[in-house]
Amino acid sequence: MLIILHPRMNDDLVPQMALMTCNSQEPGPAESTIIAPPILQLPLETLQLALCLADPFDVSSTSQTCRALHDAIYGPEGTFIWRSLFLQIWDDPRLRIHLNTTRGWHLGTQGELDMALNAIEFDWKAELQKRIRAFKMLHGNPRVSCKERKEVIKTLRSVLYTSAPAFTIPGLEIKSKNAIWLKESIDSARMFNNQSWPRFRHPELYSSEELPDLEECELRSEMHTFFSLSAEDMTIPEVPEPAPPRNEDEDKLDDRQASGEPSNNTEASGSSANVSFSSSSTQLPPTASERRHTRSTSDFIVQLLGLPEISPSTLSYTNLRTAARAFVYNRDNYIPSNKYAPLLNDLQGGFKPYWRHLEDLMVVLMWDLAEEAPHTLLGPLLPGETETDRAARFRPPEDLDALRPHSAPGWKEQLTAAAEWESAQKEDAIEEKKEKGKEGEGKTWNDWDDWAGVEGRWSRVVSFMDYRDFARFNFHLRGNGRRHDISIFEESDFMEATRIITVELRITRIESFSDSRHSPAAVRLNRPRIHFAGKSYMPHPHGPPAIEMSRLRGFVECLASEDIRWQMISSYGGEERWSSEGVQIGGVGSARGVVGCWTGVDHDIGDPVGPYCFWKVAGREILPISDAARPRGSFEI
Amino acid sequence: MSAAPQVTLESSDGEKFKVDKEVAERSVLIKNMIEDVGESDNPIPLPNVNASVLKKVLEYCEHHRGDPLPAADADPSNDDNRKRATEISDWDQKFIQVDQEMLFEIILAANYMDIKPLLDVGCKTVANMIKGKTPEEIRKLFNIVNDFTPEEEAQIKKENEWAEDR
Repeated sequence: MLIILHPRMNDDLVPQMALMTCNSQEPGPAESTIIAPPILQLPLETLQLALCLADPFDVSSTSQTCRALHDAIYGPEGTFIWRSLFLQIWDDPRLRIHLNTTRGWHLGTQGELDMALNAIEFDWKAELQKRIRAFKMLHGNPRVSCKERKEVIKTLRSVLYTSAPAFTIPGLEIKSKNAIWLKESIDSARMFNNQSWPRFRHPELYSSEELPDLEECELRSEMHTFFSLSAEDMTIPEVPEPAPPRNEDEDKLDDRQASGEPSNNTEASGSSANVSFSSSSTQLPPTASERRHTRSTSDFIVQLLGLPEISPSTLSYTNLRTAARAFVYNRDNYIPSNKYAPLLNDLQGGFKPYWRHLEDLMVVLMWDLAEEAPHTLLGPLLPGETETDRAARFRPPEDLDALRPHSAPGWKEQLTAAAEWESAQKEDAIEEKKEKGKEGEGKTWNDWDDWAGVEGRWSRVVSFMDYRDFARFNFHLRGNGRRHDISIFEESDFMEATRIITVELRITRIESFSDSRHSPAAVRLNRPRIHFAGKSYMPHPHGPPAIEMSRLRGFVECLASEDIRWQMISSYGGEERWSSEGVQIGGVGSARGVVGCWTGVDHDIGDPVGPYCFWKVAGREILPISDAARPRGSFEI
Repeated sequence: MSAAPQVTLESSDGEKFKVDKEVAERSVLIKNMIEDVGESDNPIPLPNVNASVLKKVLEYCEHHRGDPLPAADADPSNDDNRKRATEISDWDQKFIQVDQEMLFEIILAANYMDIKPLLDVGCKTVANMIKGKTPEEIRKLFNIVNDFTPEEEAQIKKENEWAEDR
């Protein structure tokens, strides 16, 4: 076969032509003379440069035109294109991989960062294709198997978990493409809401493959917690007509109707129906035999996960808020094996977040806040506070950007200070100065050590039920089968109370890995347990701006799952009263902060429980000078 | 006439172009050549660019003579430095409205003469040309012959399933 080269072809074209000559081994059009089309005369790198600027779909189409272009895209040289296409749409996922090895921050120069990132292997092509497949499925046929849906949710979740930190190098704030992409890809976060998902309301119309399993419910809850409570969540959903069942499902459906099996949605219509609030209730097995089977499976899972005992589910759908309140205020959901926390004890003995619980805590709080007037709850301005600062104490930031590592207030200053300290250390090492404690006797740590961003001012929102209602719900009204009567939450005069408390925290002690037990993840990520102490203030609408309300002590630690757990104990008049347990939502130092629950410090059976959330509103520079002047480490209560 | 220093460029087909040094130096290749050999009256030969293409390239350089030069060490794969395919200025868009052969000639020349913004305009134009097209439409557009065997075609279809039914 003869190839007529372009007259002005230069050396750059040689590899391209070699590629084409290779192809000529296959029988082409008989005795033909192929003139390389002008596009194939471009040097490979130039062609790739053009493809880098195209849409992934267009690149896919181009790869299907001929061998030369196929190999330029899918061959080893094509990695450059995939990387480029990926980075036009999403954040560099290697940033989070790299920052995991450096305690979540990078204190060097951009050049050092680039070098570290380039040393990380990443399959750009596979990850891009996975994300695009997920995007397509979100907008495609809704009738897919649970397995496929889980793939989609896991992919979306990985996009959130690989969003860039708010700062890559100190002082340099970067925007995240991932949050934008997710917002554009997901028409409605309601798809994550387990309560409004059609399959939960019409399980009889779906095959067992399509019905969600426990893992999917947890994934949905996690995503819903991230997306926070939307306006859509708060409207009473009309029950949409489900998609027509697949043909192969019809026989099954007929059997069910013939056997007179009650459909789940008729039961759901009674607001006083009994309900179990365990995860397994979301499985909703439609037939008696299937129910027995599913129950034994879920009982097994429940045992493994250390969940509270469950009773058979009889209700498939209920108002989102009622369901969330019923779970959150159910005393049975707070047990020692879960540390009285929204946590699950994993098989390996480590703990991980229990997203179903966290989702319900979030729903209760955000719904309560939506009904409150900021001014009544916030009170007058605190000393040195602006109107904007005060507004920030009312509700945690709910956008997806608020989930990024180091997005909370105060990180910019802290990272800059840490970088300065770091370079001072380096200089000291060079000059062989070995003075210890040169910045003050009590200075036992620095900005570098506060990996969780503990120090500063936080806002804490707490909700609670009237104790008489709480006792009625948990102890008095329980009938046979130890079921709870949720109708209490739908009584017209049912109310919760909500309070906003301002908390100021300082570090008291940082554990060392050698002295105490830490999760493997804590050691791997170099995140030792940090102990802190602080004071809380409750604004009073008519009194002085803030009254010291209680003293706090607590710690923050890294769980085996790499999630961050916060524990706090508050005391009044010298006596410890309440214990709070929470999980950081988003990356380390996220602006969204912590969602959790509170109970009595001794976890007595009669103690009330309730939800709280907790987010940072100002860095440690806001702390009173009298405290700041004290050497760190001497701050104790 | 301006008193600005000028240089002479010579195309592959022997045509000479006298232009302001500032204009010629939009090409990093020429800039480096001038730096290496110093100012001289000898024409600078460009054996890979013919007169009609060079004329077009110089028209671009003339229009953009005052633009800030891109950072020399800008990594072409660093995507924060690159703009999406849709962003081409009005003048550039009009400038690049040429037949396909000329478009690729300009891209080749921009690549050879190292004029990064022009290379980008050319690449973005190619990207825009294939936007939303099927493989068959792209083949037609660029006159590409399908040289896949049926087996290969089936395999490639599978390989690209992720992008189907966009």
